[in-house]
Amino acid sequence: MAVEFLHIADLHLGLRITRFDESVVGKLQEARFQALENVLNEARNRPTAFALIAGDLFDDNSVDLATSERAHNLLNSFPCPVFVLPGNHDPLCAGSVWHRTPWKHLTSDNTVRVLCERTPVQATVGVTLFPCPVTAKTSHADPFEWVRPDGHVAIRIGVGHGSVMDRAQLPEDDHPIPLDTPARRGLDYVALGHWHSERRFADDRMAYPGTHEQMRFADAGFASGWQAYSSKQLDEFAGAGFGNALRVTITAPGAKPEIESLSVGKFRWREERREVMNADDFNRAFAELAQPDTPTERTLLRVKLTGVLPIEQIARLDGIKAMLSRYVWHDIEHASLSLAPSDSDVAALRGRGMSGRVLTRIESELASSADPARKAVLEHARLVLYRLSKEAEA
Amino acid sequence: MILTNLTLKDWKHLKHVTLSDLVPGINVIYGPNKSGKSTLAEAIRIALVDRDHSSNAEDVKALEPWSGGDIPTAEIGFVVKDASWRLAKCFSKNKGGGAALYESSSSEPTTRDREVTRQVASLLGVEDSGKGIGALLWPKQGDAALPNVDQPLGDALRQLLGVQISAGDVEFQRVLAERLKSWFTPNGKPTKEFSARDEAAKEQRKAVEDLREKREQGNRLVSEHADKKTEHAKAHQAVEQTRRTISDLESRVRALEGRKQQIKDVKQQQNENNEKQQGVNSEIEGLRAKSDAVKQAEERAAEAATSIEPLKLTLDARANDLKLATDDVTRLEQELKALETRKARIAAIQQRQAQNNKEQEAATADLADLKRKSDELTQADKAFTEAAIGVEPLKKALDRAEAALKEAGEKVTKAEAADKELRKLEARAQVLRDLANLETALPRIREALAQARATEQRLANLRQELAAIGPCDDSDKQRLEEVLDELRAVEAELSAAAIAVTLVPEADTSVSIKADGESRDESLNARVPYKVPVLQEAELELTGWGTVRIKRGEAAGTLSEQRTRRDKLRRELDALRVKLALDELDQGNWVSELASRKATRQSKVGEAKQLAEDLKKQVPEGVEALESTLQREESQLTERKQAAGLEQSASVAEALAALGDLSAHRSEVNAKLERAREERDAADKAGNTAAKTHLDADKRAQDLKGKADAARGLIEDTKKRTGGEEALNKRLDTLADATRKLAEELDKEQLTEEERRLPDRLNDANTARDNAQQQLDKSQAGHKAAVEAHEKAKSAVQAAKAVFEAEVMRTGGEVALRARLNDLQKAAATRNEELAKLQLTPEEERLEETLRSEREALKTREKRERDISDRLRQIEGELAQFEGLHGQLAAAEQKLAGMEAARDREKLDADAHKLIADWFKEERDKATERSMAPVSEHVQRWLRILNNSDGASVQFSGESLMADSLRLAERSVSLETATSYGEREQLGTLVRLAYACVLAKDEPQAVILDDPLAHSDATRHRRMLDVLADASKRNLQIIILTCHPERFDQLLGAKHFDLEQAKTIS
Repeated sequence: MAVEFLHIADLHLGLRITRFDESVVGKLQEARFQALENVLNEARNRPTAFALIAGDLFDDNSVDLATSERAHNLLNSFPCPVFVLPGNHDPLCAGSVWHRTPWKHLTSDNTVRVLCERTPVQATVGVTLFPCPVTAKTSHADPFEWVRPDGHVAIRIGVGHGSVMDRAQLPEDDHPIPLDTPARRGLDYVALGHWHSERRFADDRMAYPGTHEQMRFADAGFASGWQAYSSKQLDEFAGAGFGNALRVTITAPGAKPEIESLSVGKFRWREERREVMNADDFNRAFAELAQPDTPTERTLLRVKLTGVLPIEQIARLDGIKAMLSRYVWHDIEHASLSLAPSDSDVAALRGRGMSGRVLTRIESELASSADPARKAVLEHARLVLYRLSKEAEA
Repeated sequence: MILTNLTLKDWKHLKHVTLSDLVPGINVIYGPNKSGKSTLAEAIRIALVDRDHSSNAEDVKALEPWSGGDIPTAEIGFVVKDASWRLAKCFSKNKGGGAALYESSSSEPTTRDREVTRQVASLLGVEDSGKGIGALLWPKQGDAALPNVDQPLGDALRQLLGVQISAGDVEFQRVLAERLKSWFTPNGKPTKEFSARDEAAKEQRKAVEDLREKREQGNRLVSEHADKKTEHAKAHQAVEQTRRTISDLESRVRALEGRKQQIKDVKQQQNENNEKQQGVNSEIEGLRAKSDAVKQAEERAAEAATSIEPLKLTLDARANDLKLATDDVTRLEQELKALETRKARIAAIQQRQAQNNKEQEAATADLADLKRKSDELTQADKAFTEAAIGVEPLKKALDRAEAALKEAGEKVTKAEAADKELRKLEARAQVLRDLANLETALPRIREALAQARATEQRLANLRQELAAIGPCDDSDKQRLEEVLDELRAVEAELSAAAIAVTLVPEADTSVSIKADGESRDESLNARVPYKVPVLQEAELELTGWGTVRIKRGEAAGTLSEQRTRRDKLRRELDALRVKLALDELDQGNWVSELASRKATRQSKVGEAKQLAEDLKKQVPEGVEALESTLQREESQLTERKQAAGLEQSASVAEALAALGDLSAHRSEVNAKLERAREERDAADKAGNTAAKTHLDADKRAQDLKGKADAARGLIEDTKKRTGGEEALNKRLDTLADATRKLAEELDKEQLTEEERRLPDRLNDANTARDNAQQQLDKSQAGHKAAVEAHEKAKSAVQAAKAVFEAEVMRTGGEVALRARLNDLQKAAATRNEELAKLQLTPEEERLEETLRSEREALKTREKRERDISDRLRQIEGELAQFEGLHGQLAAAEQKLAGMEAARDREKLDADAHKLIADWFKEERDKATERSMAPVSEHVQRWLRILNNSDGASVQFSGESLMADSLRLAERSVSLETATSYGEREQLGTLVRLAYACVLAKDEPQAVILDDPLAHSDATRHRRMLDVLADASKRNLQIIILTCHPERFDQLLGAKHFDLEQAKTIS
C-alpha cells in the first residue's frame, strides 16, 4: 500500500517581475517552466504515483492564455496524474484562470486535474486526497475545517494553501492552518503551499516545499516587483527558497512520511556583501566574484559594497561590470560606499584652483549635511568633479 | 609706452603740426573746435597700430590733405621699456609712400614698410586701437563705455593681477559646459529632450496607473460576483420557498372548492326543506281550512244544498288548476336547481380559462425574452465572426512576415557562417602576425638584454666608486667653513692681542714653553730671535738658564672668553674633520677637498642616475623580468609555432603570405552581413508590427468572443429555466389546445335561451299558481256561498266533503302531513349541523387572496433571481477580458521602473553637474573679486575723491574681468545705465584710469583723453582733476585734448600745448 509522490507548490508561472530588463524578465519567466520540466523529468525517472501542486501554479488569475496553455500542456505530459490546487494567487473565484480555456475543458481523460471542490478525491488505489481549494485572496477560516478524522483504511493526504500558525505575529486572514492539523484531521501527510522556503512541521507530517524556482533576493529592500497577495508581506515570502520539490513516500496508513528534498530550480539568486577599505579589498572582492561558486549562466548576482573606496577605483567599476556580464544579471550597489579620493588626487584637484575649491566645498557640506537627497547629490557631484577633472586633464 | 613727440604733415586739414617734448605726466593740448584735436588723436591711433602706410582703408584714403599737398605723413617718437623709438609713416601706395621704425638715434631703420606696423604692435602689445588695450587707453571722443576684454587685454590683466584661472580650470569649465548642454539650455532651463524624458516617464506612470485601476476594477468585479452569488442563492431559495407555498396554497384552495360546493348544496337543500315545510304547513292549514270549509259547507249545505254542486265542480276545476300550476312551479324549481349546478360548472371552466391565459402570457413572455437574447447572441456572434474573419488576413500577414523574418534570419545565419569562417582565417592571420612579431621581437629583446646587462654592470661599478668617495655633506661643509672662518678670526684676534715675548739666545739652546696651557719644546739658534706669543700667562724653561714666568693682569678677561671660544671651535673643527674623514695635516685643502668630493659625487650620482634612467628606459620592467620575458617568449614562440602547425624551421611570413589578403574579403563579408542583418531587422520590425496588429485584432476577437459566450451563457440559463424555445412553443400549443377544449366545454355547458328564461318562467308559473289560488279562493268563496246557499241543499255538503276527502287523499291527511313536517324539520336540523361543520375559517376565506399575493411575490422573486443570474453571467463575461492583464501590467511596470531609474540617475547627474557649475561660477567670481583688488582700490580711492564720501565699491564680472557695477553710497550704478551722461563719463574715465594703472605696473602707459569731462559740473570737474593728478603719479602719461584749457589749469605739473602754435612751428 506504500505510495510515492511529488509535492511542489508556488510555481507562480507568469511571474510579475518589474525590476529587471526585458530580456532578463523573459529568462526568469522561462526558468520557471524549465524548473517545472525538471520536476517532470523527476517524475519520469523514478516511480511516481502522482504529483501534487499545492496552490499558486499561476502568479495571478489574469495571466495570459499562452502561459496558461503552456502550463496545461506541460502538466498533461506528466507520466502520472497531476492534482492542481487553486491558491491565493489563482483563487477559484469569478474570472479565475480555472474557468477559462484550457482549464474549463478538462475531462477525466486529462492527466492533470484541478481540485475545485472540498470533497475527498481518490488519488490512486488506497490514497485519498482532501483538497482545500482557495476561493479568495484572504480568509480567516481554517482551510481544513471540513476534513473529518476517519478510520485509517486509506492513506489520507491533505492538500492546502495557507499559513501554518507557528508564530504569533502571523496575520489571521492568511488562510490560517493550525500546527496540529495532521493529528486533528487524521491526515498522514499535509501537502502545503504558500510559504516560499522549504519548511516541515509535526514530525514531517506537514510540509511546504518552497518555490520550485527561486524568485527573489533575500534582501527585502530590493524590490523585484513581485508582491505576495497576503495582507502582510511576510519574511516567509522573502525568497530563501532555492528551487526545491519534495518526494514523499508513505508506506502505510498512519506511517511517518519519508521526505526527500530535490533540487529542481534553474537560477540561483546570489547576494554578496563586501566591505572594502582600500583598492586591494576592492580588487580582492571582485577577483572572488570572478570565480563564482555557481555557474554564472545560472546565477543572478547582486553585490552590495560598503566601506570606503578610492575614488579612482569607481572608474574601474565599468570594467568590473563587463567582467560580471557573464552572469545572467548583476548589479553592483555602491550607494553605501564612501568614495575617498587619494591624497595625490586631492592634492592634484586642490592644486587645480577653482575646481579644487569646489571639491573642498562639496566635502565640507557632505560632512555637515543631514539631508539624504542632498547628500546623494553631493556624493555624486564629487564623483562627477573627479571625472570631469580627469577628462580635463586628458 | 610714453609718447615723446608727434609731427603730422599734410594730414587732412592739418598742413603741419609738431608737438615735441611731451612729458611723462599730464599733457594738455588745447585748441578751439575744429582745430584738429581729434584728428591728432586719430593720427596717433592710425599711425601707430591701425594702418599700414599702403592701406586701402577708407580712413586712410580720408587722410588726403584737404587743400592738396604732399603725402600725409606722421612721425611719432615714443619710449618703450626705456628704449626710444621713432616711427615715420608716409601714407601712400605710390612711390612716396613708406614706413620706417628707428631705434634710439640710429639713422638706419630697424624695420621698414609693412613690417613696421606689426613691429610697433608687438612693442606696444596693441594690435587694434578699437579693441582691448587700445580701446581702453585711447578711447575715441565721447566714448564713455569700457571696451570688452579681448584675449591680449585679458592676458595682460591676468598676468598683472595674478588672476588664478589655471589652464586646467579653463578646460574643466569647457568640459563641464559641454556636459551641461545635455540637460540645460544656455539660460539654465531644462532642455526639451530632458523634459521630454521626464514627461515620458510620467506618461508611462499614468499608463501603469490605468492598468492598476483596471486590475482593481477586476478585483471589484470578483467581489461583486461573490456578493451576487450569495444574493443569488438567497433569491433562489426565496423562489423555491414561494413555489412551495403556492403549491401548498393551491392544494388547499382546491380542497376548499369541494367544501364550498358542499356548503352550497346543503344550503340549497335547506332552502328546499324550508320550502317543503312551508308547503306541508300550508297543506296542513289548507287541509284544516278545507275541513273547516266542509264543516262550513255542511253547515252552508244545509243552507244551500242545491247550489253546492256546480260550485263544487268549479271548485274542483279550480283546485285542479291550482294543482297544475303548483306542479309547474315545482318542476320549474327543480329545473332551476339543475341549472345552478351547470352555472357552477361554467364558472369553473371560466376560471380554468383565466389560469390558462395567464400561463400562455408567461410562456409568450419567456419566448420573447429568449428571442431577444438569441438576437443579442446572434449579434455578438456576428461581431465575433467578423472580428475573427478580420484576424485571418492579419494572421496570414503575420505568417508572411515571420516567413520573411525566417528567410532573413537564414541569410544572416549564412552571412554569419561566412563571417565565422573568415574570422577563423583572420584569427589564424593574427596568430601568424603575432608569431612574426614575436620572431622579429626576439633578437631585439636579446640585444636590449645585453645592453641592459652592460648598463647594469656600469651602474654597479659607479655605485662602488660612489661608496668610495668620502662624506661631503653640504651642511657639514658649510659648518666646516664657518668654523674655519670663525676660528681664523678668533685666532687672529687672539694673536693680535697676544704679547710677543722674543727670545734671542746667545748660543744654540732649547726651551720648554708652556704658554696659555699649551706646552712645546723648541730649539733655539744663537742670536736668532724666537717669538713666543703669550696671551695670559707663559712659563719658559730655558736650558741652563732657568724658568721665566710671564703673567698678564686680570683686565684682559675677554681674552679668556676668546680663548674658550677658540678651544671650542677647535674641538668642533676636530669633530668635523673626523666626521668628514679629512686629513688632519692638510687643513688648508679641506674645503677644496670637500668641494671636489661633492663635485665628484654629483657627477657620479648624475651619471648613476642617468645610467639608472637609461636602464629603466631600456628595460622598464627590470633586467630579470626581461630575461624571463625572453625565455618565456622563446618558449612561447616554439609552442605557438607548434600550435599553429608550423615546423620550427618554417617561415611564419610565408605562412602568412599563403593566407593572402583577407581585408577585401572581410569588407565583402561585413557588407553582406550588415545587409543581411539590416534586412533581418527590417523583417523583424515588420514582423513585430504585424504581430502587434494581429495580436490587437485577436484580442478584440477574443473580447467579442467573451461577450458572445456571456450572451450564450445567458441564453443557456434562460433555456434551462424555460426548457427552450421548442418547449415553450410546445407548451404554448398545449395551452392553446386547452383553451380550445375549455371553449368547447363552455359551449356545451352554455345555457339555452329557454333555460335562460327559466326564472321568468318560474315567476310566471308562480303568478299563474297564485292566480289559480285566487280563482280557487273565489270558487271556494262561491262554493261556500253555494254551501251556505245549500243549507238548503245537502248536495253542496257532499261536494265539499268530496273536496275535503280528495285533499285528504292527496296529502295523506294531517297526521301524515305532520309526520312529514317532523321529518323535514329533523332533516333541517341535520343540515344545520352539517353546515356548521362545513363552515370556512376566516383564514380559509382569505386563502385565495393569499394565493394571489404569493403568485405576485413569485413573479417578483423570479425576476430578481433572473436579474442576479444575468449580472453574474455579465460579470463572468467582463472578467474574461482581463486575461493577460497581469503580464501587461508587469511589462508596463517594468518599463516604468526602467524609465524612472534612468530618469533619477539622469536627474542626479544633472543636479550634480549644475551644483558644480554654480559653485564653480561662485568661486571664479570670488577669485576675480580678489584678483581685481588693485583695480578696485584705485576705483574706490578715486570714488572717495569724486563723491567726497566713503563706502563706494565696485563689482566685477568674473567672466570678463570687467567692472559690472559700482556701488555708490546707497545706490548701485551700472556703467552703461548711469543716470546722467556726466556721471557715466566720470565713472567711465575713472574705471578706465584704474585699469590703465594696473597695465602701467611694469611699463608706463599713455592714456589719450579726447575732450574729457565735457559734461561735468565745476565741482566734480575739479575733483576729477585731482583724480587725474593722482593717476598721473602712477606711471601713466595722460594726454588731454581740450578746447577748454582753463578747466585744466589746476593740474599741477601739467604741460600745456597750444595746438595753433604747434601748427605754426615748422
